Amino acid sequence: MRPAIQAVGVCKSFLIPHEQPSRLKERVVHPFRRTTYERNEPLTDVTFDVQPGEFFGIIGANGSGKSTLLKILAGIYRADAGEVRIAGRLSPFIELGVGFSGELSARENIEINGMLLGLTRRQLKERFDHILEFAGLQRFVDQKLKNYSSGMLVRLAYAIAIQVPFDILLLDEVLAVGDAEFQEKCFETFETMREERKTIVFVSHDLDALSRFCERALLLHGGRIHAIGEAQEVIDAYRALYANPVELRL
Amino acid sequence: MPQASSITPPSSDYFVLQAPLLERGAYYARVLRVLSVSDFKLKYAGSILGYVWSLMKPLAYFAVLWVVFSGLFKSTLPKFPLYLLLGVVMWTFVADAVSTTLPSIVSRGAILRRIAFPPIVIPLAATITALMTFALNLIIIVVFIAGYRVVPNIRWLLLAPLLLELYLFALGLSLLLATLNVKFRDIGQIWEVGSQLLFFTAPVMYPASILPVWARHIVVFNPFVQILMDTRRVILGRDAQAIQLVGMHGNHIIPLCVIACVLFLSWFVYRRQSHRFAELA
Repeated sequence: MRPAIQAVGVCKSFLIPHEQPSRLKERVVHPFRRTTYERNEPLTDVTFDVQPGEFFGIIGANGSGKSTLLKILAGIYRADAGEVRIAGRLSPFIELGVGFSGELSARENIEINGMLLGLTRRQLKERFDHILEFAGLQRFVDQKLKNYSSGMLVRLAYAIAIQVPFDILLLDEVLAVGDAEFQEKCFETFETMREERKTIVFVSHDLDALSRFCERALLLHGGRIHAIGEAQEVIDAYRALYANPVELRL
Repeated sequence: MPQASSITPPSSDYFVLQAPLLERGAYYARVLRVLSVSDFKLKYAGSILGYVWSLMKPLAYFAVLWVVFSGLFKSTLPKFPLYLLLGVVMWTFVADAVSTTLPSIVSRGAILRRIAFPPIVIPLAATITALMTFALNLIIIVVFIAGYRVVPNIRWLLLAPLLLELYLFALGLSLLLATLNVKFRDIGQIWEVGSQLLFFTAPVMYPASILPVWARHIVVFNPFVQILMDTRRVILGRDAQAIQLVGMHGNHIIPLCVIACVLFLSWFVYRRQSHRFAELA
């Protein structure tokens, strides 16, 4: 069977200028000064497959390249080299609540976010009540989003996101916020998605949740794959990596 | 970097980009609509008078210029208030479109970093927001036209291509500056000066006939001048006191070429830069 996600030799580097070149003045005042760059390589030669119906975790320390990898999978960044093949409908977002603005009401934000995620006006109308019910925010529908707590924001954003038809879902750290009740609700939707043989890629620091849901996982360290395989083993490798400071230099 | 040359860069067939053309077009249209409407709402969020402000701005300009210049042009331009208002409202649209679009890619960068998305929709939505304000301002013009009992005739059909030309000019300029602004944040400052320059050199508050001949050869390169003069000629007829800026068809060919060049250039810069917007914005 064709893998849902196939990444082959993905590399990405950012050139970080030592001086701010984004001013014309710099160019005018110092026309011949070459800007010096620091090459930051968040990803080097990352190769892995995710099978259809698989729940796949990506873990690693802050700055190890997890989000960059996810952005490349989603098509937000273009890789410098390597190839990503996607089979199936890929959800285009990596974080929840794209396009939310605090000055507008939840009602308006549901429309903006839902439409950005690809829902039609009619679909949104049909699912509007369901979204609010799932988020448990019926009472606050006409309140401006700036008055929402971060937990309420995540509830709303997640409730909209799961209305979008997809085969493959990419999620960057969604489990961190939200109370226990809502997390349970999310976990239930994961179970439903599993039954429907959806593919999900999680990036998370919540190792317990990852070991509960993911079959396989990938550990990034300094932009390279440090370990890949059965989720529990990879999580153990991650813990081992930071349990012993000597290995940090790897 | 390992064997970079032997590996092909990833194709961009993601998400809606996988969908058939029609479906994709419908998606862009929906997003365009929701973004421009929410932009419009956000612009006036929390203000008491709301979009009444969008009427106040050109009216205030108009009032000031009318007080200063009405005595000067009373004899040459019999319907000077309407003449002036047309210029002010049309210029306000161009200025408004550019100044809202210019920072749009940067200020909406959060969207581009979180969702795979054709970035052009963002500046496009900003120009459409400006178009909505412009539509509101047209109400003032209609009131003035009715007040002066100017009777529409068949030539008024020419207003449609003229308004389209005005939009294309604003669009090209906005898109070009918005794209450049992602990399060079100076563009905002440059436009502040540039817009003043364009405003004062265009015959908004004075008839083009007072310009010296050498200056006419320069202002003809500003497409706004041609659009404004033609619109006045259509609505005011002989009262517009229109003149030829340069000989023969230069009045039209030069500005149309300028608009085409601006549009082409903006598209060219956009195509080269757009894949990096998510990183730079």
